[in-house]
This record gives sequence, C-alpha cells and structure tokens, in this order.
Amino acid sequence: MRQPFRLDVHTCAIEDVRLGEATTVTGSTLTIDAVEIAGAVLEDGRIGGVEIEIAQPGDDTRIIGCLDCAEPRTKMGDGAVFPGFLGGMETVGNGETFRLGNVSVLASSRYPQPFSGLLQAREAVVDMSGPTAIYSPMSQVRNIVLALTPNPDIENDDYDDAARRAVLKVAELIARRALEAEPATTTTTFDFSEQDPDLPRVVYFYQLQGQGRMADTFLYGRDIHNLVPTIIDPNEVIDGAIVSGVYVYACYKNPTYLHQNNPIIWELQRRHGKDLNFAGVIINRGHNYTQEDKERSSHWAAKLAEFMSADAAVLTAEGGGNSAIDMMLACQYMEKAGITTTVVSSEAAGTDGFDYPLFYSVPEADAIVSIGSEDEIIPMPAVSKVIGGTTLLTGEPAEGPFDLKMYFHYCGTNQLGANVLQGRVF
Amino acid sequence: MLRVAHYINQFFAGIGGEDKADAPFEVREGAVGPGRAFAMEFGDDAEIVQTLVCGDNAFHADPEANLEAAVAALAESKPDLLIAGPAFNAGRYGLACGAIAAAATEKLGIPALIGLYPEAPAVDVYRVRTVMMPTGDSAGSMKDAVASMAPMGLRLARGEPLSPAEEDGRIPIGYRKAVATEVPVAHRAVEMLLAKLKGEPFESEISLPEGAEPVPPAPAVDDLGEATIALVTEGGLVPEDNPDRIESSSATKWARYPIDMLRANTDPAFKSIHAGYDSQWVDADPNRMVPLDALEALRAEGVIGGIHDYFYATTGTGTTVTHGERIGGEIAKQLIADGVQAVIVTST
Repeated sequence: MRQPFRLDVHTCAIEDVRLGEATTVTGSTLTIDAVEIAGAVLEDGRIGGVEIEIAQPGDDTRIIGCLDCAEPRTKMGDGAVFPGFLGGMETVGNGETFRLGNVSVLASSRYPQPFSGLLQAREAVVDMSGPTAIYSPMSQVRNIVLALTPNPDIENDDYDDAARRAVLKVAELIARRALEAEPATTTTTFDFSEQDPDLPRVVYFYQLQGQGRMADTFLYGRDIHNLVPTIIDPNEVIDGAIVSGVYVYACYKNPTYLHQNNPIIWELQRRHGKDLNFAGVIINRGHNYTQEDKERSSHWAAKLAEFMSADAAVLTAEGGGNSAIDMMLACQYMEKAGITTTVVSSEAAGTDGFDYPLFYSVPEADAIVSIGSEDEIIPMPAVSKVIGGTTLLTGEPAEGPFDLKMYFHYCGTNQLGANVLQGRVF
Repeated sequence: MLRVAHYINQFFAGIGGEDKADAPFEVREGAVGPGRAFAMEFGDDAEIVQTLVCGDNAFHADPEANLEAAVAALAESKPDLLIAGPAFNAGRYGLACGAIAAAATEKLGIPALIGLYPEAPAVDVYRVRTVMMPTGDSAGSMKDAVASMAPMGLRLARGEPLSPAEEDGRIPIGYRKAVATEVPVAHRAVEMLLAKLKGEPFESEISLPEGAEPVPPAPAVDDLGEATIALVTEGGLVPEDNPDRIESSSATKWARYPIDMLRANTDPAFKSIHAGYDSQWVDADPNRMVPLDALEALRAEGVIGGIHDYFYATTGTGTTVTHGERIGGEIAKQLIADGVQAVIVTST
C-alpha cells in the first residue's frame, strides 16, 4: 500500500573517512575514490579544477571559502534525493532513504569575478579542532571537501549554480556507492499521520532566506522569491526538498546539510507521540522587503498555523535584521491567535557585548532561545593545514593567527540551532 | 602561594566608627580585621601580604591623592589580586572600594574583587570596571561574604576566565558573550515551549528590552521657502574609494561629502558600500539614495530655500544602538552648527 507520509531513513553512521581505490563503505569506514569523484565534478565544464580533501573532527585543519555542504543521501528504489537539481521533478518525503551519518560533502571556492555590494559570497571558515572548533557545527562532521576552481570564462551566477550542483551530485554518488556495499544501518521512521488527541499540536515556522543571488534558498529547484507561507510535510525537508545557496554572511547560513538534518524537525520527530504531536511545517520566505509584505506574510503564516489547529509553534529565521522582523511579527500574530511560541534567535550585542542583543522584538516574544552573537571577535590560532586556499578574502594568511568576527564562522550562529553556543550575561 | 592585597575602611581596621572617618590613608603589612577571615579561607593557596586602610571621609576628601597612594603601594607589593571590602550596603566605603579596585586593574593590571550588597550605590558606578560578588546588606553577613568571595578571588588571581555571572554567582558586569553548552538548541526550544504551554515557569534566554524613550519630534519648519535643507543617509553612499573607511556593516563611523562632488558624480563617482541591501540601482544613480535631483527641483520651484553644502553618510545595518545614538548625535550637532533648519534622512 502506498504510504505518502511515511519516510524510513536508514543511517549508516561513519566513524572514519579515507581516500582510497574505490568509493565504498567497510564497517563504519567510508573510502573515497578521489579520481571517480573528481571525474563526476569535472563533467560540468563550468568548473575548471577540483581537489578532494578530507577534514575530520580533531584534525589540525582549517577550511576557508566554504560554500554549500550536503549529507550523502540516495533513495532506495525510485526517486531522487534533490529533485529540481538531480533526477526528475517530483516530491520527496516518502519511501526509503539511505544516508551516511556524520559525513558532509562541502564545497570550498572563490568566484571567477570580483563582487560588489551586499549580495556576494563572503569568507566562511571552519576550524576542525582546538578552542575555535565550537564556532562551526561542521567541525563535528567528517567533511569531504571539494576544493573547486572555476573555469575563468564563466560568470559568477553560472559558477554558483555549478558549485551547488557539484555538491549535490557528489553527495548522491557517494551514498549510492556506499549503499552498493550493503552496510549495516539503523532506521528512523518519520511518520506523523497518527496524532494523539491528548497531546498539544506543535507546528514549526521555518523561515528560509530568499533575498537574491548569493542569498537564495531553493525549494524543489526554484528560488523562493515569490514564496508565500506554505504548509510542507516535515519529511520533505528531511528528504532534500530544500537546498541552500546562502553565502552572504557565513554565521547565519543554513546549508543544505542542516536542512536535511534540521535539528528542530529531528527534535519534534523524537518527541512526536510522547510530549507533543508534530503537526507540520510552515515554510516562509525571509527578508520581505516592505512593511506591507512583512505584515502580509506573517499574518498569513499565523492563519495557516490556526488552520492546522496548532497549540504551539517553534520559530526559526535565517539572516539578519529583516529576517528577525519577519520572524518576530509571525510570533506576534501567532500569539495573538492563541498559539504559544518559542523563538530561536541570534544576538547582536556589539563586539563588547554591552548593547541590547536583538535587532527587533515584540512583547509577545517572551520565550527566546539564544544561539550566540554575530558580533563577537574570535582570535583564531595558527593551524598546520588550510583547505581552500592560502589567504582569506581580507588578504591575511589563512594559516593564522588572525582575528575573525563571528560573521565569518561557517554556520556559527545558524538559526536552526545546530551549534553549541548560547549567549549569556557575564 | 598567591599574594593578595586587601582594602578596608577605618571601621574594619579597628580604628573606630564614624568619629574616626577622617583617618588618613595608611598601609599595613599582612592581614587586618576581615583580612584574617580571608586568610583562613585561602588556607595554603594564598596569603594577605598587605592591607590598605583609609577613613571613609578621608578617602572622598581627596580621592585622587588617595588613589595615587594606593596605586603606589600596590605597584610596590605587586599582588596577584586586590580584594576590597566587603562593603555590604555602605555608600562611601563601597565607592572607595570601587575606585581602588578599578584603579588597581586599569593602572596596574591587577585583578580586583569587591563584595557589595546588590543594591549598594557603588554597584552601578563600578560594575563595568571591576568584578563584584553579592553580599548581605550588613556586616552580620561577613562570614558568608568571605566564603563566596575567597574562591572567586583565587580564580581571578590565577588568571582564570570568568564564567557567566549566574554560574559564578557574581553581580553581572552586564556584557553578553557566547559560551559552549551541552544542551542542544532544539531541545531547549521545545522544553521551553512545553513549559510555557503548561503554564510552568521558564526563563527566556534573552530578556525583552525595557521601554525605549520616545523621541519628541522637532517643531515644524516655520518657512520652508527660507530653510536650508540637508540630506543625510544611512545607505552607505560614499566616494568610490571610500576615503573615510566607513564600515559596510556594524558602522562606527560617519562622514560628510560636498554636495557639489555628489552632483558631479565623476572622479570620484559615488557608490554604496552598504552590506544590507542590493545597491546596484544606487550605484547606477546615487540620486536614488540621496535625492539631490528632487531637492534641486524643489529649490528651483522656490519650495525650499537652499540645499546644505554637504551630505552626510553612514551605514545602517547591524549598527549597535550605542554607535547609532552617538553617530546621530554627532551629525545633528554639526548640522545645527552649520545653520541647517531641516533634514531629509533616507534609509534602506
């Protein structure tokens, strides 16, 4: 019988990644055939070159110029894991999906032409060990880094598309090769069709950044500039419906890997049927430009939550001031509709931490979880290996030491809550 | 063994009460009065090498001279820590403790610790400049005060970093900083949500702001036809080489540029360095950020008297309230000095 709202995720947890003769899994060790992976990447003529590097937790390694990253996934049976980018156009979120846990495919590159203005790929750094590892959640993951160089004849936007597709393609290829080895897996079932009438109904307000080039999120392969608040099955998110193209400020970034592993969704899944009913996800565009659009969008999101008979909602944002306003307004209108909320927010209390930490707030936002400040300046130690180049975009030697504002720490204050930071009063 | 200096007033030094508040500054060797209780608490970890004493009135009669004497004494003994008080809810004594502790840290780099009742007058004056532990409001709580101050003092003496104020049991200095935590964000968010839903107590990790002070609008311009109008923007419009190095975000600087230079818009051309909006249309035509063309049309029609000789620019994205207030105040002061009657502020 077809079960459109049941997704079984089969996880092969990886504890080591090595370069080797073939792309395969033995036990909990993933081996990568760099020649095969490079060949797949270079099928796209917009990419001029690629080095395959491994960066694992504890390595004395810094990755710079980080773009998107994705977890290796493939569908068992029919279907594609990133529809709109790979395979045909269809929806995901049901059937069976194979994943390699604790592994990411991460692109690192500079763009062929110089940027100007807001919408540009800025520096994005991960330290894999030492005291600065806490500033990127991707330091906790085994990264297969695609250190890309562009074909110099192409435009930035075209190259951006090529780099994104390279990550998704390699993530799917590695998972497919691993699955061929038939490794042992553990299974997590995502199915929220049974709801307990005695438990509260919780929805997740999931804001996605859609601001323009270098600040776009993709839903089934399309940008979300015209997205209105929309109900989506959590399983679609987990199964690759959302792909990231946000590079403007690294600390805010929610890369594809973190959409696939959205900590809020995984937490609500874990508690579904025990403490609460996971009643669904409302996705919404962040960074609406005008006050009227902000009001329209946030009122509409609150209406959808009411329509879903929500008792409560968790809200997350992606981006800076505009995104915060969009989220706070949604919080306000949900609370006015009688829906209890908590909000996940980053802080901007200035480099010395003495300023008020929120860009914008509403009186109804009385339950806020902090994920740390974008303004802190972190002293970065010297490291023995740098992946992705030798200099930062500022021109400083990338091996360090140097000071780096939180803005440029990859997913440092990502607003899905994958990091370990919490802003505290000293 | 760590070496600690201690500051107390005439009462705790055993000189006398209010009638002896004129007792002059003096330096004694070793522990005196409550210093002995600290010495007991320190055990083998630290010793009180020096006690500075001053009468409450004497200190405030000439604070500069007394601070100078205290700094000179500390410079000589080179302790690893200065403890001042505890001064409980005392006014003059607490303020003297704050002044000496701040001077020890700022002039000599010696970490310092005060014990104060959280509502004591010195708390708000010195909380940013020195570390404070909360005490009861009177000397009756001396034992507890010493017991909580001594371990914090040893940590400071060893150069250990502060933890969040709540964990240290300190009076907050007031700045925020990120720390690593074991409990995942998603777990905290859902726990807080369920508690709020059930009406159970929960604590928001960020408090809502206290009400901002309303800004009364300036009075209307009497005669626009006679008024000089200035253009101000937070849109980051600067000469293309950004000579004043205004930041693209989190600005701390502002600058003004001749309006004739903007009108020419060549060598240098103007562009926006603002990192918070897509500036391609502003770069193509700066009038779209600083509407000089519209203002010139109004002047030609006689609607306004004149256009100020300069326009003012900063970047308004991620700017802290502190810098925003300062920048606004500095620009306003300059505009008033230049005889400007009204301003059009364009924002992004």
